[in-house]
Amino acid sequence: MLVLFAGIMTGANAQKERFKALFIYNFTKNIEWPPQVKSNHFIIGVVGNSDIAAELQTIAQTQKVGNQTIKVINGNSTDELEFCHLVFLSGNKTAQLPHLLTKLSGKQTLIITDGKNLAAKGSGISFVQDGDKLKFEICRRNIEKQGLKSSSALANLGIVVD
Amino acid sequence: MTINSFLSRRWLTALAFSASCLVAVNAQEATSTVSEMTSEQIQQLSYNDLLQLSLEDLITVANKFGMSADEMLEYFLNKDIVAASKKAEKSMESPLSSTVISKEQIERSGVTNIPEALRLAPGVIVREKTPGNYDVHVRGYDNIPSNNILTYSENMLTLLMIDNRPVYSYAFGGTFWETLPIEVSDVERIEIIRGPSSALYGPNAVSGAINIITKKATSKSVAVSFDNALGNNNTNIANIASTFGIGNKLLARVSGNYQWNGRFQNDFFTFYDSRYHTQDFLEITKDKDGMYLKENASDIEPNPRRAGEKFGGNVALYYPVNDKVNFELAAGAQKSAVLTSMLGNRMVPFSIRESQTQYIDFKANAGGLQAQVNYMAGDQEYEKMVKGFHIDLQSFNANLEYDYKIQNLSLRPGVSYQQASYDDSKYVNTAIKEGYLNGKCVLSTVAAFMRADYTAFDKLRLVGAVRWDKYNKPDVTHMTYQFITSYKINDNHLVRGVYSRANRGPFMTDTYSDFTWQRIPGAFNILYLGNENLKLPVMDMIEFGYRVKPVKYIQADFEVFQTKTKDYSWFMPQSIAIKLSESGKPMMEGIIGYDNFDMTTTQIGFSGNIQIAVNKNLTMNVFGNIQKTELDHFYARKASEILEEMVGKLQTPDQPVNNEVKDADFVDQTHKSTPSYYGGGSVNYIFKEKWNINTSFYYYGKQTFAMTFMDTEIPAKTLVNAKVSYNFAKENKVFVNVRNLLNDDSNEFAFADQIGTKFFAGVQLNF
Repeated sequence: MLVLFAGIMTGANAQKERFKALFIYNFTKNIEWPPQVKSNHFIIGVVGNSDIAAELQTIAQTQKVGNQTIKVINGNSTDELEFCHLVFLSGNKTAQLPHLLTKLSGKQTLIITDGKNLAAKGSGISFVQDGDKLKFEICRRNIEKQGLKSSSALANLGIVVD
Repeated sequence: MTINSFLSRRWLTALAFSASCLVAVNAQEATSTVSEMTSEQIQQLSYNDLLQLSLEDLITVANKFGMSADEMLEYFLNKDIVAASKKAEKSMESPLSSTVISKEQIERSGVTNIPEALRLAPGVIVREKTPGNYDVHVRGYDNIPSNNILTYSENMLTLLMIDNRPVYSYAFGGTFWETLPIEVSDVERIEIIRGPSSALYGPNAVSGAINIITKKATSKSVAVSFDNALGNNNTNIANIASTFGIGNKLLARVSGNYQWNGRFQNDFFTFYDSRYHTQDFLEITKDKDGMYLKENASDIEPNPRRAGEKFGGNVALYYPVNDKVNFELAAGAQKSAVLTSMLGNRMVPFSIRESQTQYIDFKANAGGLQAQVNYMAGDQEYEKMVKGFHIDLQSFNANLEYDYKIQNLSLRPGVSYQQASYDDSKYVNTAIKEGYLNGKCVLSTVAAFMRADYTAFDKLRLVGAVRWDKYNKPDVTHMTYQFITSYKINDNHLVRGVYSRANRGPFMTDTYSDFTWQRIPGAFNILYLGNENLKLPVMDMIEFGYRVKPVKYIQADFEVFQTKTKDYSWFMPQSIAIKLSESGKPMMEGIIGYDNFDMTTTQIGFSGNIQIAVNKNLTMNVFGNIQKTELDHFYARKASEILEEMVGKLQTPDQPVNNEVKDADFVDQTHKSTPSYYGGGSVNYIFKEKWNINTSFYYYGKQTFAMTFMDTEIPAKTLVNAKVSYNFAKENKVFVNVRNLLNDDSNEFAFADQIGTKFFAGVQLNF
């Protein structure tokens, strides 16, 4: 029975991870990417959470960002992320956020985190769980600081923490 | 029908699908309607749909997809049901004894066809005759009258409908399940109403009504689904469907299905020595009258390992004009061959039945007005290559209803016309009465009905429904009714009571039979004579039910019922005489006719159904029925004994011997042909979103099947099934499916096949 319930919890989490990956892909459509990063692959870096990375890999098989094919890299450290267009820092790696911000400062990278009040602490977008509802905080200032521009839809639909 | 011809049809279907996909690709892309979708519709969105959504729609979907725990429990436990009162309502509030089987339950359980899916609901006795071919009875009442022909083993008292279209066989009564043009992959949900429901659905909804609601296209985006399961004994089950939009509003779904079910044995039961024998034996062995047990057996079925083969194709179009007006058009066709018991010859009760039928069904909804018109045509050979049992058939149904609401009172008046026309003249020499009907025979009903539904103080519900059916044969009008009251103590407790009456409709054979069977050619003819004035069987029921949600994870449903049924029709030897044949030689001529006996059946029973949804990933249910059926004033003699006795008494020409019905021949007895307990249950577990593990069981108690030639005991049986599927890429799955895991191969139906463990492996693809 314990194994069953452990499995149940894992299954419910997988559903959430699937939607987070769908949101991440959707966010790419709501960011104005500068021309200089619109060549070669569109690289998404995932720090921690291999489930989201796997979901993004599946999306990468059929979808593009603009004309760019998607490449997903997954690791536990922030060291390999310098060439990423988008970096997702999973909840259990939040401690690495300051280091990540320093490393990617002004590098036209969208930084997405997973946890409450993290957009105020430097990320562009951060997932927050409100009961059963999946929501996101958005800090336009942080996005612009990275050299990117966000669509009005992001601000309209997210929790703005500018 | 050959496999080659099936295969060629499969290619045609594939071509049709390709064409439809091309049409759809060119069709206009879907506009966003996500916010208007129900949670159930959202669950149907493909992964590709999700990727194409706007951020706003994705948020909507995420929040509905990841329904709150309470919403999710509600979704699993308290499904919508329409059949109980012809309006969508929560099953917790349904005033009648009813169950909904969802498409998720069907897919996860691994049932391979529609009658097997009915094993997922309480109150339904489902026994497999030959692999893939089932007998279905709601609450029993099977084999009444006993000691008679095999036809009475059929369920004549339950009305089956597809999207409210009756799919009922008017030949001998009952349902030929293999002739349904749809398969489980086409099913959105199955609604089962237990108890007399003629007042809502018309004739034949006596022991209950089953309404199969089919899947419809819900979005204009193109989607194709395909599944294929390969099993032991060369069993092959394949389904394909495509949904798409055409133009601005028209939504379409096109589907095709194919099944080939293999037997576990080569032999067939024969009354000759009450054993199973090969076709070779049946073809070369003669009975005591010097007649072969089954002539041409290997021509009738060249492959004795084939239990059944069927092919179906359907198109369903939906056109919403606006919020209040919409039109639906469905059409389809099927072709099937099945090894089943129905008529059987006098020595071999199982034989091949072949059918091909086409249908068209049109529905219009405008405000509260609902109109439905449908037509079905085709031909059926009830016993292949046996003269007299090949028929062209047509049926037509028209129904008009209006739903009118005044505050807490809802009124639903309506009118209906049903006609069934059967004609065998194309296949027989009518001059020598070679056919069962020897011409075109028509049964029709004109009906008017009214249903009133009143709710007081949001708690007390009073429902009254009455319907008058005027039949052409017999020339009578039957009034049927339902009086229902339910009281909602609070959101978690509901008590209800029902008093209802329903009647069976007439059938072609008991009304119009005019058949001369050359029992021993040139020596003994038997005339089968119908009766246009037969009384129609009527059932009265009183039932009390209680529904409870003791905690939010559990919904339980309990019911006790008593029914009384009278005016059964009977097929009984009446007289025998010596006549001169055309050649001038004396020969015997017997008359077997249809009549009513003054018998009443009384059934009392209890049924329980407990559903538990621990969470979205772990759901389970368990259900069961206990019942007892008593026959009062039952004419217990076997038809074959009466015939033999009359032949023995026949001594003088011109002095016919009549069957003398004596008071002493009538008995009161417990009916043992239907199980006194039956039920089932299942556990479904979703692991890591990708794995689905389902185990289910179904059981029934022993029965004694009594027919004219012999009695046979069907032992109690428990079937255990398991299906495991793995979602390897989004909605694409591979699965293994095992039916009858314990390999109990005792026959589930009289003279039927021994069916062992069935193994399947397959794929289910969605793109």
